[in-house]
Amino acid sequence: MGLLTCAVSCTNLDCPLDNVVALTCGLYDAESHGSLTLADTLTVSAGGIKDTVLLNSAQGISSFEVQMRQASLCDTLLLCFTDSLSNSATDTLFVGHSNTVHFESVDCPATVFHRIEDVGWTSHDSSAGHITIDSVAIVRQVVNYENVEHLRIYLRAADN
Amino acid sequence: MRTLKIIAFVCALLTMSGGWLSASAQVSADGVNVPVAATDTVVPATDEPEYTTSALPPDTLVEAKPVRGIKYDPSQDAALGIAGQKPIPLLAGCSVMGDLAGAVMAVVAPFGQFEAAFRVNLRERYFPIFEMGWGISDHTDESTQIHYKTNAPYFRIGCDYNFANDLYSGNRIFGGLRYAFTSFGCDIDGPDIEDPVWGTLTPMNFDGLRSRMHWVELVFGLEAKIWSIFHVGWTARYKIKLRNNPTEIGNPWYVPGYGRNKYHVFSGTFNLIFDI
Repeated sequence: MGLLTCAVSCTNLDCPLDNVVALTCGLYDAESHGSLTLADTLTVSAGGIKDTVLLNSAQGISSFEVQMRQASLCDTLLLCFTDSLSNSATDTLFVGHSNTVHFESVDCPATVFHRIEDVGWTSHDSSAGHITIDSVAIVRQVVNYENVEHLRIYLRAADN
Repeated sequence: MRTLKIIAFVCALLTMSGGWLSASAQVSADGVNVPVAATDTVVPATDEPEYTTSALPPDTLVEAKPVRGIKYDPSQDAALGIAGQKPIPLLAGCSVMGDLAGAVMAVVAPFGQFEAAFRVNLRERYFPIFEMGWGISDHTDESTQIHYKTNAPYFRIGCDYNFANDLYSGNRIFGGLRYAFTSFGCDIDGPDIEDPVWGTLTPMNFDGLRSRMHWVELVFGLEAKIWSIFHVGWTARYKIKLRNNPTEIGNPWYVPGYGRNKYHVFSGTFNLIFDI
């Protein structure tokens, strides 16, 4: 009966403490393929929706996180690079993905995980700014609670 | 005259030895002193126990008195001795049992199970056992409003070993191992999931999700004989998950026969056992 009482009364929650599902993008130098700390200011906003800023004027970063859309199969991210002279240029990153509802426990709110299927990007004119997207590589397809890098964005200077 | 003296001496010896032998027979038969009324002299009984009557004068009469305390009965000892030497057959019996704790949990807790088992008794030492149950859960969490429902069978097979020294009492101390398996479906539904950035809603309504699990259990148990063929016992179980095939949206919350879906869990049973 003691075991029964314990089984009935002793419950604990097993929800993950880090329960944010976000796409992590690392910034790399296109030539050396080494990690790049951005000298310019980066603002990331969602394409197609006004006033939806996902990352606002970040400086000195080598990676950033954005949340993906749970009810869409493609995220369009507008990456706006602004240098110290206030010259700005915008590249576009397309991330195609599938979405899966994730159930952890009845104690924990359900969420949506993603699986990256493909990526695409646009590069701006080299005269428009100092840095632009050279290429993008998928490092890890599954986007869930784990804080790991999913995309590698290789950047190159505009005059290259 | 010499012959008469010899005959008289032999008769006296026989008389004395007969009295001693009868007293000895009383002591050896009962194990305690039994007063012997052999002569016409009355000696009042005292509280002091008397361990022999051979020392009494042959013409002393001892008053009979009741035996105090637990009387040693050599017939029981003899019976146990005979039983102890009796070999236990390889197939010493079979029994069926039901779990009372799981049934109570099914009523008062978010999940529970109705479980029965069939067990074979091999020489009172080894007890191969087959357990089968029906795990149920129909629970809605009050904070998340997520509803989980399942209703499926599970199976266990294993063997217990009786560590008790006394194999004839019907009381047993068990240690054992089980392999268990279940394949089941579950329904999970709850409020729509709201996108924290874009505000869209994703429905959370899944029926007929399929999953399977294999696990092993380490078992410790005690069992006591209550009456004739009726025993009661309990077991404590440490369950270790071997393999879990998750559903398409994640691991199931409750697995029939296993409990909460963790890497290892503790549980127990309270069994009513009937020998057949």
